[in-house]
Amino acid sequence: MNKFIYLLVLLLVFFLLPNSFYCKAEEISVYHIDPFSLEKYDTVKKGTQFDVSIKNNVSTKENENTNSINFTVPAFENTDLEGHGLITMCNSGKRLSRHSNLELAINMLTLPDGQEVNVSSSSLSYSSLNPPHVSSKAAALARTVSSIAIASSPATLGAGLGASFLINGLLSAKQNGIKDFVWGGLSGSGLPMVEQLLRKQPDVKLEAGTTVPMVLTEDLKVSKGIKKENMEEVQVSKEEAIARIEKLIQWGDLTGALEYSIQSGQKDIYDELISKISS
Amino acid sequence: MVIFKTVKLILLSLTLILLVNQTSYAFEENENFPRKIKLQAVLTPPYVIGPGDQLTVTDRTLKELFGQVEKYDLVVSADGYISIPLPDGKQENLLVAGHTLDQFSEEVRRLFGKTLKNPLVFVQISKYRPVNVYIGGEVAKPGVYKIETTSTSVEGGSASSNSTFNLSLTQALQIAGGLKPRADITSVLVTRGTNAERKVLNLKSLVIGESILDDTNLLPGDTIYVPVTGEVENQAQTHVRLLGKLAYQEVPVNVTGEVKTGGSFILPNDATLLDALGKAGGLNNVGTLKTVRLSRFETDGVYRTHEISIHDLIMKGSDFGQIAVRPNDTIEFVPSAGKEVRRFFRDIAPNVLGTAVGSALGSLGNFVVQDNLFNRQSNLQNSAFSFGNGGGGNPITILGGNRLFKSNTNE
Repeated sequence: MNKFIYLLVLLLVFFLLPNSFYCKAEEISVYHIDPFSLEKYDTVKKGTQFDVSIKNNVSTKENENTNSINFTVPAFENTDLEGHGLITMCNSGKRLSRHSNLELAINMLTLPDGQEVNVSSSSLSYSSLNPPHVSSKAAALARTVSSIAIASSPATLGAGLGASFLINGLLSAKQNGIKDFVWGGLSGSGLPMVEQLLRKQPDVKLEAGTTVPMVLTEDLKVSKGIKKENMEEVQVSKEEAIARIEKLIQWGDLTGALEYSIQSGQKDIYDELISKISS
Repeated sequence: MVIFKTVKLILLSLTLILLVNQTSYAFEENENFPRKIKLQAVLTPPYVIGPGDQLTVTDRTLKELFGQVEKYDLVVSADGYISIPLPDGKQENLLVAGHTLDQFSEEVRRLFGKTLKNPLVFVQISKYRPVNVYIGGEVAKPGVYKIETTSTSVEGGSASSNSTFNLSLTQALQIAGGLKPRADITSVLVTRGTNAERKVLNLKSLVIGESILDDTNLLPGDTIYVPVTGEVENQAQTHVRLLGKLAYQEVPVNVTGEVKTGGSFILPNDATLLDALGKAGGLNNVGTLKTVRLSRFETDGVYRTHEISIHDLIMKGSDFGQIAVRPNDTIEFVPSAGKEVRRFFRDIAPNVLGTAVGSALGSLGNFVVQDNLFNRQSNLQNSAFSFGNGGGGNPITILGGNRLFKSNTNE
């Protein structure tokens, strides 16, 4: 009796919903299982370092802890793998010598067959520092002039400090840009602590495409007994698809009917079957 | 009179029969009477042939006379048919999908019987098609599973009702990665067959030992659906330790913030928040257990972030459910304000202050040297050996050290 109800429902679906929309074949995953190989694994050992390429721009200024990051793991048997992860440490640079820190991790990797595996990993810690001030013979000369000026007379003290500030500032500005003039001048005239206390530490910025080294913190094990299959779409008319689905149901193959409804793009029948199975 | 006696006898007999029946019924109803033990056998229904099965037809009819045994291996096509060679040399297309091995054997005997008088023909399955089952709902990896089977065979005829498949529901759930945290373990739905027969299985009674037979063998085409529930006592995460391999095996968690080595870690399903912290190498010098942001899927299925104090959970005592980690938890250890201040004074301030003190002392040294230089110059100018006009009278001398040599030209 139930069989006839099924067939009736399918026929109703066919006649009442002629403009049914098509669904994608990826909507349902198909796995091929070899039970004798389930306990055999391809293993990548803990501690293995691998390079990944980030797909997002990441900055300690604009991002925060737990933000999602997408990765590409290049050159794995000439196939790029897709990875997903997050920011595990994100401290922006602040005054009082608080340096910025950035750490990332991958927690999921999509294998070439489309299977997703959990990964235990962490990246190196990135920190950003202000560029060092100029350190050259010219700077040394400027400091000597400054010292001599200080030592020679009180009258030359101010001039000496000023000269030292100016020379060191200019040299730093030449090396690191104009914004480094003041800090370079202060550092060169014996006041580096002012910079340490008051200067804001820079943020870490990683552009999309940057290579980031990752380390596996646990063995990565992939069972040899599980392979994800690509579901092939079948180009058939709706009538043919329904006839085939009816036949599969008659044979007691509900799973086959479900799979074929996706393959042939019969989303409405798929939904109907799922609602029957799940309620 | 005879009739009357006969009727009386019949009535008496009926009364006696009724009394006996009533007595036996009363015995069954009596609570003190030992109850019958109910045996629930898990019977595997007859195997239904489908596309992909390989069947072997063996004809032994001529073995007695000529020692000849004919054997054909036939694979069921995608449309459910096989093409079987008959003794008269013809080929017959038979729809076998949807039939049991018994039904197919009977049909083959009938066909062979058209040519042979007493056909000795047997059918067996030499290679099973993969068991395709759909496992959906609250399992780690829902989808269609095509599970390869052994190539063991089943003889046709009376033995055909026994399938050699050994794929049980619990095994299938493990293959699908186990039940997710919010899975309802009291009503796992298995739908089977042409008539979509439904079986509701209670895994809870299975794992807590109430029933040891509430498992079922699966057949090709079966579907399994694990519904979600909001009732905490029926959720898989509540019984995760009892469920063992039936529950989610891997608990991927992210540990972020003020820890020594933040990252993503895979923990076993009985791991706690402290295990996650341990994987991350513990707290760094500003991390604290008192304020931890935990983001997770709650029992109602909503992903929320809330602050907890692991310190309090430890100090006040907590059961496993309170400190257990769940798949995709993100645990963020935030910095302690007090520890940050302490770090400043311990790590940064000494460096900065050292530089400041060093600079101050350097400047002071310069001024001392400078002062001495001025004094030397003054004394030289004021001494008897000085040339020129010299400076004012400075009582401090370095060169002579004796006021006798002092020459005060101003006096």
